Formats: sequence, structure tokens, C-alpha cells
Amino acid sequence: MTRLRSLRRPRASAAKPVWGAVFQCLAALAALVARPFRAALAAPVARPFRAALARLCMAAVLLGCGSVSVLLAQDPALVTSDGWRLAEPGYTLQFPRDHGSHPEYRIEWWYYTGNLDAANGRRFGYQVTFFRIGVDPAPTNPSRWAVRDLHMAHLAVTDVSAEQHLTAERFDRGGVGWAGARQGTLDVWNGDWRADVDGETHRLQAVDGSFGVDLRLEPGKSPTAHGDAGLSRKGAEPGNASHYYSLTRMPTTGQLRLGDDRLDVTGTSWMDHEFGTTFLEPGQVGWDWFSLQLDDGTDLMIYKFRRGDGQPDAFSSGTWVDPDGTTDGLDHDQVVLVPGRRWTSPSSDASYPVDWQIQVPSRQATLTVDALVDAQELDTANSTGVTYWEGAVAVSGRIGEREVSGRGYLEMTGYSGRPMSEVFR
Amino acid sequence: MTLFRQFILRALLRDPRRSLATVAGVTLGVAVVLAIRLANTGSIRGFETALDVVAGKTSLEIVGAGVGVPDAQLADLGWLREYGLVSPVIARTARLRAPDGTEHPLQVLGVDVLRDRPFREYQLLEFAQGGREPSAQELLALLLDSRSVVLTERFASRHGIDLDGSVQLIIGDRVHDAVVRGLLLDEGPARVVDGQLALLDVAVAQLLFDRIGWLDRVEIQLFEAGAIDDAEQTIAARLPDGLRVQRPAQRGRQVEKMLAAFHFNLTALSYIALVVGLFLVYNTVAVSVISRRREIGTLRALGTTRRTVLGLFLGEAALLAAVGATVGLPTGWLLAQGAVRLTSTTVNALYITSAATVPPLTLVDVLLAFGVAMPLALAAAAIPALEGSRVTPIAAVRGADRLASQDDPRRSRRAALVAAAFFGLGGWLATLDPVGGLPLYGLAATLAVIGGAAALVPVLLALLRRVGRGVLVRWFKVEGMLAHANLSASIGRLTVSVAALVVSLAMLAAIAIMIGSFRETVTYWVGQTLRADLFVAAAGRGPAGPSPTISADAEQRVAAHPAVTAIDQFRTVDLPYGPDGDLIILGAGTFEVLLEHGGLLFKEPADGRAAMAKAVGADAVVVSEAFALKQGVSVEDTIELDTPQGARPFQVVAIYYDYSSDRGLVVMDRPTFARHYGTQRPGGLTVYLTPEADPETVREELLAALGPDHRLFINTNATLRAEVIRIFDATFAITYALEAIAIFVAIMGVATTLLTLVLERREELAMLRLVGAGRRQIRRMVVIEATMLGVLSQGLGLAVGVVLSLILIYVINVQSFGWTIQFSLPVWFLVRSTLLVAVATALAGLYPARVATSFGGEAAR
Amino acid sequence: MSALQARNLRKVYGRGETGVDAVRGVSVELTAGECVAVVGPSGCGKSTLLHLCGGMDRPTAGTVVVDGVALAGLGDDGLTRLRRERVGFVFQFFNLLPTLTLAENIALPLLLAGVSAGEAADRARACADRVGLAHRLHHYPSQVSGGELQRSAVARAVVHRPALLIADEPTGNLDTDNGRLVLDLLRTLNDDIGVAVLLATHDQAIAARADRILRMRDGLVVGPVDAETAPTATTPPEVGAL
Repeated sequence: MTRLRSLRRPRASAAKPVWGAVFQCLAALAALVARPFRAALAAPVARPFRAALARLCMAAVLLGCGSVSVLLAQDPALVTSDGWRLAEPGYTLQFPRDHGSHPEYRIEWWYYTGNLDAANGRRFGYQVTFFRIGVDPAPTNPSRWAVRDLHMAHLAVTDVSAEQHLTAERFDRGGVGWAGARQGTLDVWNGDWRADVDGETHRLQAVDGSFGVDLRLEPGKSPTAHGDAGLSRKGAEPGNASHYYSLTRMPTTGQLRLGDDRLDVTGTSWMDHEFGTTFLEPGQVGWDWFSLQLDDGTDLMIYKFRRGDGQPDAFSSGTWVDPDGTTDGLDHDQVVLVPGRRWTSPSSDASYPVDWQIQVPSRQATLTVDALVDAQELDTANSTGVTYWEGAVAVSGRIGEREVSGRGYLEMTGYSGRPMSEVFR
Repeated sequence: MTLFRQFILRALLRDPRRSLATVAGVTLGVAVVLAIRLANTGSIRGFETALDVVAGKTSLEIVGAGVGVPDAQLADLGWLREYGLVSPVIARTARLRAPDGTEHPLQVLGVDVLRDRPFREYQLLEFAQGGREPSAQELLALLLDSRSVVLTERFASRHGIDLDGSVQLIIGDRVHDAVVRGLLLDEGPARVVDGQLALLDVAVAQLLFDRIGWLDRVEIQLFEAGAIDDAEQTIAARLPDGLRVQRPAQRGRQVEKMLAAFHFNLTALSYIALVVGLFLVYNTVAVSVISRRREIGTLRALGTTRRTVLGLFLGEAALLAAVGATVGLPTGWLLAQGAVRLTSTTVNALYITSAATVPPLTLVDVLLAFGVAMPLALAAAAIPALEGSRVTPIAAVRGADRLASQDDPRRSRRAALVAAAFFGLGGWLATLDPVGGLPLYGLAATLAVIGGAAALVPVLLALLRRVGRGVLVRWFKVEGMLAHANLSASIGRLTVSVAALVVSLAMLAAIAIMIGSFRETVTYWVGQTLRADLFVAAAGRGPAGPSPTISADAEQRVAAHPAVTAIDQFRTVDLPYGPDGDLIILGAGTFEVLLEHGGLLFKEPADGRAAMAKAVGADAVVVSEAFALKQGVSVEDTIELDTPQGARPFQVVAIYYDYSSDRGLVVMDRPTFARHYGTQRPGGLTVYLTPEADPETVREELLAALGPDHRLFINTNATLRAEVIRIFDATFAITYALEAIAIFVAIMGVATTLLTLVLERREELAMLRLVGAGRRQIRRMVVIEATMLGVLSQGLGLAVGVVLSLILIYVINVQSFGWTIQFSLPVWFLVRSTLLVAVATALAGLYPARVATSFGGEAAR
Repeated sequence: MSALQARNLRKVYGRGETGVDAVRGVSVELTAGECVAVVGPSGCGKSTLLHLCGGMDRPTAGTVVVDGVALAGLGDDGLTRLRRERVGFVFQFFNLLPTLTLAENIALPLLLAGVSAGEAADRARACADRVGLAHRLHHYPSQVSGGELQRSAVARAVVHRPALLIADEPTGNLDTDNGRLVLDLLRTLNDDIGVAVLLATHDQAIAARADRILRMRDGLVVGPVDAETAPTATTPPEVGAL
């Protein structure tokens, strides 16, 4: 599924979901393949993860893999029985090395989102994501086509003024060079979509048919290492974690392609890069995720799980990044999320809170988050019943006495159809 | 119309047997033409259907030179995505052993489902129950394991294979255990190849088919389907050396071209039956006219115009032809089933492996049946119908009259001149070159000779009148004398029927001589070239396309046998050659072994072995006679062959005789092949043993040594020779079948002609009865007449057949297939066929003979 | 012994009510060397009577004995043998095989009866001699005149020395002179070889030369008339009967 229906005729919110296929796969595979992943599922997850991550983990388990039970090798590194290295403390992030690929880990992604302005005042949101999912670290089949890794990529553009939301995806195996990721430096590609570096500058090219982006992203602030020096723990089990850093404020220039238009754009992007082997979650109903860039130079990332039993989820968390790059982790009880106005999708009937209030009492911050376009839903109701929302948002509010505003990205899952836990059954 | 109903229809109904015979003749003629057409398209269609299935929505494909597209080049082909979606494909055949132990051939498709989904539809049973198609990931998850295979529901249910059940895939000599991880629904691709389809992951396919590092092709589905011409051109310009872009249908066209000569010759043969069938129409209308001169005269006297009379008889012909064509359509379809069976051995043995099925009748077939039968029938009926229209009203009042017997020596002389002219024309045509690889002039020459033969018939009959009497009287006494008298009196009437029979018999004799000569030649060739003691081939080896390979392990086990002294590894690949992209066969053999043990029969130069010795390890090749003839290549020429590195020159050092393929073979030394095309496992081994070893024993020992994990076909020299001859005979079975039908129709023609004569002579016959002829004597007389015609036709047919066979052997065969055949007469066959024809025509005379005895005195007025 | 004894011959064509009585109880007897003419208008049944007498057709009722052989008991082969040995036929149209010479045509009955070719040829020649065709023996039918054709036909009809000669309008297709010649011939044969001749004609002059005349009308013999008392040629019998 390398092309989407929307490629041939872009239309608002009609694109097949980027990860819909993944969901679809998972639901069917769970039934088809009796693999010992349920035990892994049952493992406690330290922190809530982005929907993509969860899905990718599942895919990896199902496609690859077999047992994910951890064994302690003689080697100082923790390795799973099927040969994947686990994230563990003591790893030091180094750049540009860690911009590159880490094939010894099962899961890895490079995640770019951003808000862009065209010269004529039009506003856009964009998202370009490259995923690598390990399937078999050492295939016995000498064929280049033997699947060691699968590469997925996702492109989405929100045309705010036209209220249009376009998506496309790529899905390929590595091996013959049609998709891949280099080690040692940033160079990840899927077909002609590519993220690499020109000196310090990230170049991001992803055009699919009639829409896409060709951007240059300056690093901006130095990388923000999440969790414990970049080790983002997900659970009590050793290795149930990932290495995770972000570039939270990347000044961006370039071109945005929309139909026949090639618009010069400027704006700010957010880049995540995360790699690890096991980070799975139990059955939450869904989650809400925010990445916000405030005009005072503050950046904020927040995850929050919604549990079916209504109990607070211990693994919800966030990171506060000061204008000078100083970071501060936020625990689940340090953040209050209050959903506001809801938008009901005409196609899925799902009702999404497209306005939010965020309170971070420790920082005396009260922020209002509003979707720039209501209809940024990804509808897969006709295949798996999984439907979710992901899109560009505007932020306003106060931090202490200061009035602040800003932009960001919001992801919401589990508002439509079956709870995620059932999808992941 | 009323007149037509009263005058023609009632008459036809009153004489149902003759009407039936005529309709049957047309039916058979139309049916045979149609059957061959259907069988021909069927054999190609079978391949093209498989092609379409595999091609899916592919608009263009990238193919490599001979060995495929190297994986290593794929990274540099990323730009293909500018044009459309790109999908790697390995398309092969394998055999599958079901749990019940039965084995079945399968088309195997190795794809990357992540890329392939837009190209082909995959509806899996277990997903269809949930009302949806599986996603790419779901398919991938099913296929990833190297033991995974997806079969079709139809195939699985037919052979009792369950989902997640175990089967064995037999590929080359290897036997792989596999698990059925999915079942394709019985629709779309799975259906068209009758369920004989297996789906593998491309990586697994590379591994199982010994294709690591190579793809069979890369398919492209253009974003803009309309821009296919532009895309083809620009892609072609951007591709590196050694790769080509083509349309999937190109492979179908190559196959079509490959089969063109074979099919063309069959088609030509099939029309003989039709033409012979049309003689029957001539006959019937002639009978109609003759037996009813008085009635026609009355009609004329009553004011019917000539045109109406002409129309009546042409209408009769049209009616007969229409009924014949109508019945011929379904009959043709039925015959086609047989024809497909008869041709499929050949097609499979020599050209392509395909499940040939008879395509359903289309409007085109209907139009063909009527479009060919009707005008030809009208043309055939024109002569007697015109004759009928010329009947004067006086005929009504005069007694029965009939065509005056033409005992005009000038007529004979003129016929002889016409015959000579035809033969001369034939001789000239035979010297012309083929047109587009098809022996059009050769066939025209055949037609000319046939025309000459037909022109000779009245000469021959006149000769019979003059000199035949003595013999007949001596052998058959009074009946012989009467038979001779009757035949002599009816030369004009007999000419057409006898000509038809002569033509059929001449063709049969010609084909028999050609095939007999060919068989002799092939037998000699096999004796000369099959020198090795054992021939080892991987299972499921097909005639064209990628052949399965023999694993290194298996080869080592063969080589390890103490009696084995030398092994020639042989590998063939299909390679497009020349401006037209003719699919030739490129072979790699171990020249040193070939030189030491002989094995090739050289056409030129005189010392082929010495020439071949120079080619060892060099960029030089030996080519088959068919290749040399078809591509116009001679010794010392340099030919360009596509290699993965682009076109490379190779010197032709020798031309050798080969009858294994009419596509043309180019053979190079194995190291040379490896240098240009990479190291490839051999597809076959030729094994030489120590003189004291018993091949059969060694064969048994080798099979035991290979064990159940290796599936190899090992033929001893003797069994392989028998196999060659078996395939040879199977190839020509259809030829004989077609001829038999033509002769059957022709003999029916003789029967109806005799019937005509009998009816015409009813007064005479009655008079004979009165003067004391018994029924038996009358019967004998008519049967003698029939047999005489048969023997006479066979005599002329044999003579003309020899001439035709020369054209077949030295012109048509050479132009169609590029083979040298040594002329030899299959004497016994010809003797047998002569006896058979005599008996058959005698039997054909029985019915008219019975009719003849039914005339009593009441007719004697 | 009579050459022909036909008693109460009846012949119905068709069946039941639609049946046509062609001959309705006719008896006729010929002794060797006798010539009987059957006269009557078209459709009076004279041809049918000849057919019945010659074994070409079977009567619906009545008996026919030819030369002492009763036809009733004979099958097809028997009838064939009867015709071969005891009956000869002459018709209005000469019915010679066009591709056989006159000699061959004449010899045909002998050959069909299995007589050796040499003997058949000798006897045919002798017979041709008798009918005055010795000089035409090797001509084909298309090369000779109508009279010669009919004389050949007569020769063929008597070459095997039959007891009975059936002649159906033998002169119908000939001019008067030739007709007379043929009749002369028949009369000569009557005397020479003792063959009985049953002759159908509507030429009064021809009939007048028979020993007896059998006049038929509507399938019945209207009356045996002696040749001597027969009306002259100027008075057609049909007219006389009215």
C-alpha cells in the first residue's frame, strides 16, 4: 500500500489513515498468528506512548518476531531471544551519530511535525514520519529481499485556510535500497521521501503526487533528551524503554507543494527520534498527545492516557523545555487536561475534543489549545473501525502573569469504535 | 420463396441422406478450420491468460538479458517511481506434492506484497469471511516465513489441502516443505489458471528458485496509463545497458511469434478439409441440377427466368452451407478439445508450458464460419447452378438428357497444358524467400501444385478410359467392363470429386513423406548427438522460459559416482535476439566435454570440432541451423547478444544440426557464459560413464544416492531417444488427424458423386437389370467404380504427393522451422495408405451401390 | 409348351380406394414363334401387362408362367435368372450403353449370365449378323442411326435365345421405314429362333403384322382380334371400338 486514494484526487480528510493498515494488520494477525506476544502486552508500560509507536511495536512483534522475553546475555547489552537489543541506562546520545539509524533495536522512528506560513498569509500544518520496524535481525535467507526491516513513512499536510487535510503513506522493505536508513548520520528515506542533513541543517523532502513538502530545518535548540538522559522508561522490566530525544523548535524554510502551487513557506518544526525494542502498552481506551511551541520560547510535550476504568494513568507524562533549552520532566499528576468543545466527525460519528485546556500548576501555566481545522480526522471505519485525529493546533494562555500564545500538534485516539485495547486484543 | 420451398427444400428433404452428407461435409470442413483456430488461440490464450494473471495491472516491465534483472541494479532504478508504482516479480513454475501424494504443476508468483497490492488482487478465504481483503502487512505476515506458501481455494479443495496444512514444493531437484498459510479465493487470478497458482514472497521465491540476486522482471504500473508510449520510450532511454523495458503483452507476442509457424501450417492444413467439404456442395447442387432437368425445363417453360433458376440453386448451396456452418460451430468447438489435446504435447514439449483450454466461441468465430463457408459454397455451386439456369424449356418435353460425355482429345491436351503451367508456377514460387518468417510463397507453391494436380485429373480419367478397360475386364469381367464404361461416360462429372480426393491424398502422401523423412532425419540426428550415457534434468523442466536448476549438492552426488567420467553442465535461458526480439535459446555447455565426447553434428565448417575448440572460453558461439537460417547468420559472422552489461559481440564459429527447437539455439562455453551472465546453476547434466558401466544400474544407484530430497529425472541414452521420438510422433499426430478428416470428407465426396451418377443413370441401371444383371452384379459394378476412383486418386495423389513433399521439406519446413531434412520415402506407410484408400472408397461405394440396385423395370421407359 | 401363359392378371397401383387398377384381369397366352400385339390408347394398361409378363413387375393377382417357369415362386435372383435365360426386352428408347460398342452391348446379357468373353463375342457377332449389323459391330451407339440402334437392341434382346421377347413400342421412336425394318426383324426372329414376341404398340400398321392383336382399354382386354380381321391402318382400332 504505497499509494493512497487521496494521491490521485486530494480531498479533505478523506485520506486513508496512515496507520490504518497497521491496525488492520494487527487485528487480523492477532487472530491468525499465535505468537507469544500477549505476555509482552501484559507487561506494564512505564509511560504512555504515541499511537504510532504502539502500533509499530505490535506490527513488529507480529511480523517478525516471536518471543520478546528478555534475556540477560553475557554481553553487557540486553538482547531479546530473537536478537534485538533493549534500551537500557548508560547509553549516551551523541550527534550526529544518533541522528542515524540504530538497526540493533527493533523499533525506530524519525518524526517531523510543524506549522508553516506562506508569503501570502496562508497557514499550513505538516507531518513527515519515517518508521523502521525490525522483523528479523539476521535473516537466514541470503536474498536481498529477505525482510530484516520494514520501512513505513507518513506524510500529511493540513491546508488551514482551505480546511483540507491530505495524507499519504509509504511502506517498503529494506534490502534493495528502495527504503532505508543510514547509520552514523541522519539519512533516512522511503522511495523519494527523505530526511537527511546538509551540515547541521535537516533537509526534509516528501512529495507524493500533488502535495508535499521540501523543507530545510535548522536545529534551533540543542536536542532535548527525554526521560533519564534520553532513556525513556516504559515499565518496571529492564529494557522496557526507549532512547528518545527531540529537536523541539526547528526554524523551517522551504517549499510546500499543493496541487499546482509551489508555495514558499517559513515556520517552526518539531522533530522526534526514538529507538528501542520493547515498549508495549496494556489496553487503554485511547490517548491524547500534545507538542506545543510557545512564542516565549517555551516548548511543551504532554501525553495522557485515557483508561477505561476512569483511573488516572500512571504513565502519562510530559517534558517542559525552557527557552534556553533547560528541560524539566513532568509526571502525570503534574498536568491537568480538560477537554472542551467537541467536533463530531460526519463520517465516523466520533466526537473529538478539538479545544483543550492544559494546566501545569507547578509552572502556573494555563493554556488553551484549539484545532486549526476541526476535520483532521483519519477515518478507517470501513476497514478496521479504527479512527483517530491528528493535526495542527493553536495555543494561547498564560504562564504566571505572562500572556503566551503558540502553535503545536495534537493527536487523539480511541474516540471512535472499539477501544484500543480491543483492537490490540 | 414459395418456389424455393417447393422446389429446393422439399427435394432436399426427400433425399435426406445426400443432404445430410453434404451438410456433414460442410460441417466437418468448417469445424476443422474452427477447431484449429480455437486450438491455436487456445494454446496461446492459455499462456496469455497466465500472462494476464501475472501481469495484473502492469503497464510496463523491465526485463534483463537472459538471466533477469540483477537486484544490485535496483537501487539505481529508483527513478522508475517517477513513472508509476514498481513491483519486483519472480514468475516460475513448480510442482506441488499434496498430502495425498499426488503432484501438480503450479504457476508460482514471487512478489513483494507491500509493493504488489496495487498490481494484483489477493482475496483470501479467511479474510473474505470477514468481508474484506487482507492488507499488505497481513499478506506479508503470511508470506514472510520461508516455509510459507499461499495457494488457491480451488486447488486446495480439489486436492484436500487445508489451511495451515503441509505440502511439498518441488523446484528443480529440491523438495521443500511448505505450510499453506492462506487460500486465495476462487476469483480473479486464481480462477483463470484453474487454480494452479501459488504465491510466495519474493525473497522466498529467490531462495527456492535458486535466483538469489536476480528478479525475473520489475513491473511498473504507470500513474498515467494513457502515457504508456511516452513512458516506454523515456524509460528505455534511461535504462542502463542490459535492461530493457517492454509491455507484458510483449511476452505473449513473443510466444505467439514462436508458435506462428507451427500454427500457420496447421491452419493451412485445416483449410484443406474445408475446401474438400465445399466440393460436396458442388456435388449436391450438381445432382440437384442433373436429376431435375426436366423439372427445370418445365419451370422455364412456365415462365421462370434464368435468374430465378440460378437463384434457386445458389439458394440451395447457401442453405446447405449455412446449416453446415451452424452445426460446424459447436462441432468445431468440440473438435478443438481434441485438437488441443493433440497439440498441447507439442506446444508444451517445444514451446511453452501452458494449460491450454479451448476458448469460448466468439462472434469472430461465427463470422469466420459463415464468412468462409458461404461465399466459398456459393462459388462452388455457381458452376452447376449456371448449368441449371441454362436448361432450356425443351428439356421438359425431351427425354431425360445429361451432360454429353466429353471425349475430346483437345480437352485433355488443354488440361495437360494447364497442369504444366501450374507445376511451372509452383516450381517458381518454391524458389522465393519467406515473408515475415512465414512460408507464404511455399504454400502458394503447394497450392499451384495442387491446382496442377486437379488439372491433371481429366487427363488421367481420359487415360483411364483409353487404357483402363483391358485390365478391368480381365480382373472384373463384365462388371469391370460396365464400371469402366460408366466411369468413361462421366468424366466431366467425376473430375471435381476425383480432384478433391486427389488433393487430399496428395497432401496426405506429402505429409507422410515429409514426416517420414523428418523422423528418419531426427532418428539419425539423435543417434549422432545423444552420445552421453545419462541425462539428468531437474523436475518440471519446461521447454521455454526459465528452467529449474540442479543444486550443487545434487550435482556433487552425481559426480561422486565412481562410474562417472565426465559431466557436461547445460544451462539454457531465453534471450530476445535481433531487431524483432525473437526469443532464441541461449545455452551454456561445457565445450571441453562436448569436444571430447562428440555430441554435435556440424553443418559447417567441415571440421566443426576444430572450430569449436577455438571457442573454448572465448567470446565465441556455435549456433543451431535454425538460428543460422532464420537470422541469416553464417560461420565467421559476429552476432550481438544482450548481456547484463549490454550488447556484446560473439563470433559464430560453427553451425550445427539441431531439431530440438525451431527457435534457434546459440551455445557458448560455460566459463564464457558465466563471465557475461554470472554464475548460474545448470539446468541439466549430461553424464558420461566408464565403458564397462551399465547405464541403467548407474541410474538406479544415482537415484538411490540422491535420496528423496532430490528430485531429478535421469534418462538413459535409450530412454531419452525413445522420448525424443515419442514427442516427435505426438507433434505430428494432429497433422494426421487433420488429414484423416480431409480424406474422410473427400471420400464422402466420392460417395456422393457416385450417388449422383447412379441417380443420373437410373434408366441405364434399370435396363441392365432387365437384360439380366443381378443385384450383386450391379453392386459389384458400383463398388468397382468407387474403388477405381480411389485407386486412381491415390495413384495421382502419390505422384503429386512426392512433389508436394519436396516443397514441404525443402521450402516450407526450412522457411518455417529452419531444419534440414533428408528426403526418404516411407514406403510401407504409403502402401498401407493406398490399401486403406482402396478399401475406404470401396466402402464408400456401398451406399450408392445399394441405391443402384433399387431401380426396377418401371424406370425403363 | 407355351412361351407365355398369363392368367387373370390384375395389377393395382396404390392401396384401397385411391388404388388404380392398371390391369383388371387379363389373360394372354403365347406359343413359341408367335407374335402378339397389344394395342390400346395411352394408359390402357398395355405397358403394365408387358411388365407383368416380362417379370419386371409382380401382379396383384393372377399367374404368369414364362417358358414353363412360374414367376410367382421366384425371388429377385430367380427373376434375374429368368430374364437372363428366357426373356428379352426391347424399348422405345434404345437404352444402349453409350460407352460400349454395339458388339459389347449385344453381348452384355451373355456376359452378365457368365458366358465366357470369347463365346459371348462370337454369339454377339452371329446375332449382329442376323440383324444386319455386322459392319457396325465396333461402332459406339452415338455413331450409328436410330434404326441401327434399335436393331442392336433387338439383337441384345435375343442374343441369349430367350423364349419370350417383350417389345414396348419398339418402333415408337423410329421413322416408318426403320420401324418396318425392326418389325421385319422381329418377325424373322419369330420364325428363325422360335421366340414369342409380345409387342405393345399403337401403330396400327405395326399391330397389323402380328399374329394376333390384343386390344386393351381401361385395363381390360376388349377382345382378341385375329390379325386377318383387324381394321386397316386407316381405321384406328380406338375409333373402331367406339
